[in-house]
Amino acid sequence: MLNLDSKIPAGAITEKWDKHRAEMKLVNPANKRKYTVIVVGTGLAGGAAAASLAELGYKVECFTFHDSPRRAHSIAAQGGINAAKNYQNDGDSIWRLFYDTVKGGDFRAREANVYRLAQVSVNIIDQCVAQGVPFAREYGGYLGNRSFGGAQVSRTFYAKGQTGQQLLLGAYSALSRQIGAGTVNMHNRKEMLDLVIVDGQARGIVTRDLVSGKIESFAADAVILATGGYANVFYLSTNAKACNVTSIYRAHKKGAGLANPCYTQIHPTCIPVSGDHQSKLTLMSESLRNDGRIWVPKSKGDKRAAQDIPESERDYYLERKYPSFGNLSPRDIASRAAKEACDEGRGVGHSGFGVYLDFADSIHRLSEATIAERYGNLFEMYERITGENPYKTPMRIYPAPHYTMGGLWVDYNLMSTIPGLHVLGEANFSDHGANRLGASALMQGLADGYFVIPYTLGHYLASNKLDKVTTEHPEFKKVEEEVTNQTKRFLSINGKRSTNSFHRELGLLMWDKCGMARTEKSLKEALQRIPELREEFWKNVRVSGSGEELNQSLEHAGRVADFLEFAELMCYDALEREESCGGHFRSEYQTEDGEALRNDAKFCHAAVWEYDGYGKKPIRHKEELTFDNVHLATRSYK
Amino acid sequence: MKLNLKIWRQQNAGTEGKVVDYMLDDVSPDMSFLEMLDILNEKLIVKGDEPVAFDHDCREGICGACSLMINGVPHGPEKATTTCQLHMRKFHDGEEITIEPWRANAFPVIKDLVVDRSSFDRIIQKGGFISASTGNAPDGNAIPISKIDADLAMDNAACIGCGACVAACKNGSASLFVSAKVAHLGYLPQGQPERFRRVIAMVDQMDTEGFGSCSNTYDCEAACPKGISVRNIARMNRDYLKANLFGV
Amino acid sequence: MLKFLRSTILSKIVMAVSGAAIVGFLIAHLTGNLLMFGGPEKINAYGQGLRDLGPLLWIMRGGLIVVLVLHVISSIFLADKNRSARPINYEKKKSLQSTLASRSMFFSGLTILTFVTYHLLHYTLGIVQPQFFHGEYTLHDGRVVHDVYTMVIYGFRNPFITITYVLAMTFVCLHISHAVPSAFQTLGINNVKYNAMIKKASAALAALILVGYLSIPAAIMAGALKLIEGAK
Repeated sequence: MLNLDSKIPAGAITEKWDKHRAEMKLVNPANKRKYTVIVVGTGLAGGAAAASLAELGYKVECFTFHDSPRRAHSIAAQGGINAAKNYQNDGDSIWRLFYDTVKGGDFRAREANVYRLAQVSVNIIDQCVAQGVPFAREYGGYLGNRSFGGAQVSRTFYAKGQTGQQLLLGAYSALSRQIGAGTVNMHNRKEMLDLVIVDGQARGIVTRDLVSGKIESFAADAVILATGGYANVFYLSTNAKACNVTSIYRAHKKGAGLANPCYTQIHPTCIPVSGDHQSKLTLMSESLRNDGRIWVPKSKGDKRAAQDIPESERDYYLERKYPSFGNLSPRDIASRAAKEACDEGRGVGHSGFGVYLDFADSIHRLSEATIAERYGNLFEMYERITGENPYKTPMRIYPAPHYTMGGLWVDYNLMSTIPGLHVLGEANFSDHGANRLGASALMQGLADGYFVIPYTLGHYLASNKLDKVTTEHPEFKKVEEEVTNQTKRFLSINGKRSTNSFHRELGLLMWDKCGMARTEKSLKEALQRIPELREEFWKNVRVSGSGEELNQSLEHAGRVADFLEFAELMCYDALEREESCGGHFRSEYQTEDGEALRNDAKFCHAAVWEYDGYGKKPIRHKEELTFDNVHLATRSYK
Repeated sequence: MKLNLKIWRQQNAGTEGKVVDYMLDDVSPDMSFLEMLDILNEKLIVKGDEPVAFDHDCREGICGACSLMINGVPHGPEKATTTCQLHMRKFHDGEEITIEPWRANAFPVIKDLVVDRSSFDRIIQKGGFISASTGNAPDGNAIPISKIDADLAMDNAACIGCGACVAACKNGSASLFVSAKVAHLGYLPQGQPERFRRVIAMVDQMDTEGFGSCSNTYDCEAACPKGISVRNIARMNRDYLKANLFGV
Repeated sequence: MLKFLRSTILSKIVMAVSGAAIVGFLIAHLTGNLLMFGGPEKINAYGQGLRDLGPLLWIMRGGLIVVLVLHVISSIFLADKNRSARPINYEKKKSLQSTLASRSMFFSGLTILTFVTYHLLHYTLGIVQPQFFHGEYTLHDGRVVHDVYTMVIYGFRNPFITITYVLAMTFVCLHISHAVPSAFQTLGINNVKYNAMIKKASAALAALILVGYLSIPAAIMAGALKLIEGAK
């Protein structure tokens, strides 16, 4: 049975965090160095947490499977980071950011967490500026802002189109300083393969050294997972190739509740798949929709070149269906509309999975130079990848999985259902509800890492009795053996198919059956097919090489094996959530206009899944969500 | 397209490597270079051979994980492009492509095309930061920064730490990498208190790691996928000299 | 002692500063050499003038030797460091925007050093062509001095010496065409406003030094500079 006490402090929402901070127990400075904390992952959340905890005096053991803590996929975020600074004097406030985030999340997030997120957002900007993050500035020397989807104020801070990179390098520099000072023991190229629980508390991890293949144990007083999202369950996504579900799924198997896995965000403007060789998808900034018009041919199977299709035979479907928002409709709506057009056989490009994003009108209206000034670097990137010149022929775009709102369930203190196991950033389920607004992922990762966990972790350590545990404990030996056996098993199957071919097949299946739009039927089909595929995987996968060396297909095999189990959980979640909300669209539940139809009476809760054994249906629990401050309402972008 | 690949294969750091020939058919010009290698690996795996190991991750030109010396040029023939964003349409049918790992004493080969770039991390750990612990910060607008300085800082902060500069340099020098960080933090008022300490610590670590010196040939600048300018190296030299003459 | 040798940047700075001194010497030396065109009276008087400096000449020579030694030592240290920075070479390696001059600095420097040794053995120590080294010349004021003029003309009448000299000067030109702008960069002077100027001025200087130094053997070969009547 999972303990889903959210531990939300009492009192008015505006005072909860301050009150909680005043009441939490502290660890005195001399005692901090007696505690060891494991941090897995060095993205925004993990990097920030490891650095901040080390600054406080804890002994930190930090892990990344990359060759350096600077590579995590936070680095790829383009647009920016939100903060309720109100530097633009346009009426922004903590309350508004809170409100926008709850509404944007389609009323499926926990109010108290979101309010705290909005509160600390202002500290994040200050902290990053102090670290030397080169945010865009106005001529007067003050910070610049841009506007972003889902908000009516300009509150997004940015560093060219590389905000994620700059924020990550900021966290990386803070982390590097601590590594240099000897307070963080950094483990590069070490992948966490399992969690170790002793006496009901998370007390360590088992890792594989990706260079030597050595399986090792690390013991600690608390474990922090900041290992990102699981969009790669779709194989093709905008996530980096190595992004995976392994650490959170293994924790789930050890007893951590996993919440809302069906909430997956699909980004509408990505470069379409060019063939079977495709290994990942590339995002094009959403800002392109400001000046581009989206269309497909009116008739099915029209294979003429774009410029040969006359105006009267084009369907500008977003402008037609959503006259007031038009090409600027929200992400989920624009994505689904593109899918519908392509499913009707009106898609463009040789695969048929693409729609045009046409700049001809804007070039005509504003001149090519103006468009080049606004989007020059994006146009270049597009041309580099596709070989087509978007000044001459319209861009082709298609939606792609991008971010996952679901993750391990955590309480207000960011602790999972396993005592001592804390989860930060995209890996947890906390702040975005069913849909994340643009420029909010960076905010959440850094909020968790810099400004929440340094307080709440101390509280956990100070208020729990933690017996001394070393890696000699039998539980570590047991988990090490399990991990070793799994590695051996992969190497001994000696089948005929590569790990990649299984991943690709699973991804296609998930995209088809549990992607942008899901139905009871499609989900049941997926639930039928996934176990079969999993079975085939365990019989027919081929992993060459040995376990005692750098072996990238062995690494991949472990990740695919976990995706093959996790995918099933995701489908169960999507099947049982009989409503449409945010990133979860069930075709059966829509308004007459094709909008998501929530069912607040039945589903105003987070679904938290408990693992019940291999191949068995997991158990669904609920954390009821209450909305005392933002009233439940239907999102409308008409 | 048909390709004749000549790829460096090396079991591990302790063994000697060699160039192995592979013929690959059915390469689509729309593939990225890494997707082409994926296809090769897929074939090798099914045949029961070991796939070629190479570092990669984001595949959108920002994480800095991918590397590869392609026909003698870091990240291949296209300017200001990482290997992951290089596409096969830049090659012709029947072309012979030599693929090697970065070569530098400070970047030892781990396996095949994978090298260990942790020397870069150690340089940053010595001083590539501003000592601002969480919670120390004043308001973000408390210190105005001229747009010009902020933009220059950003241009240099764009470095992705891939190591192409080292790979391209005839001396295996890390000057461009180090100078980009020195310049990024040096342009900002927040970076001033540690300016001298930083440049000395980073340069000394660069030397300790066994990188070569800068001969001002500027091949690094041409190889840099982010177009970092060698002007930074002059800036770093200046700071380093000043720090040695006037610093404590 | 030699603390700079532990740091690549300090070594480079020593290279740049000593290099600048050497370039200064090259210009001064050239100015002196061009007195050949003024006839034996001018150049021989100049030679004697230098000798008359006495201890000051030795201080200058000493300084020059120190500069040269520093230049050579730091170049050896750097070359060694650079070689060990890439223990295994590429099968295939293209140069991207580097110039031949920039890539061959150590080689051109080494060639120049060899030539300088030979040049000193020839014209300063008189070991190469001792038969022409002891000529005497009587200045207008009656002083009998060392006949530099005749020695030089006999020297360049030897095709081996001339070819060696032309080659060496070409290397000098190549060497400084990279060295001068490179020194600016090393010393931290790289400013978009002045870069174009520095580049042009350096190229002009390199060309000037080449033309200047080669003008003397050229004039001798062409017969424009002749032996003094009656000299042996």
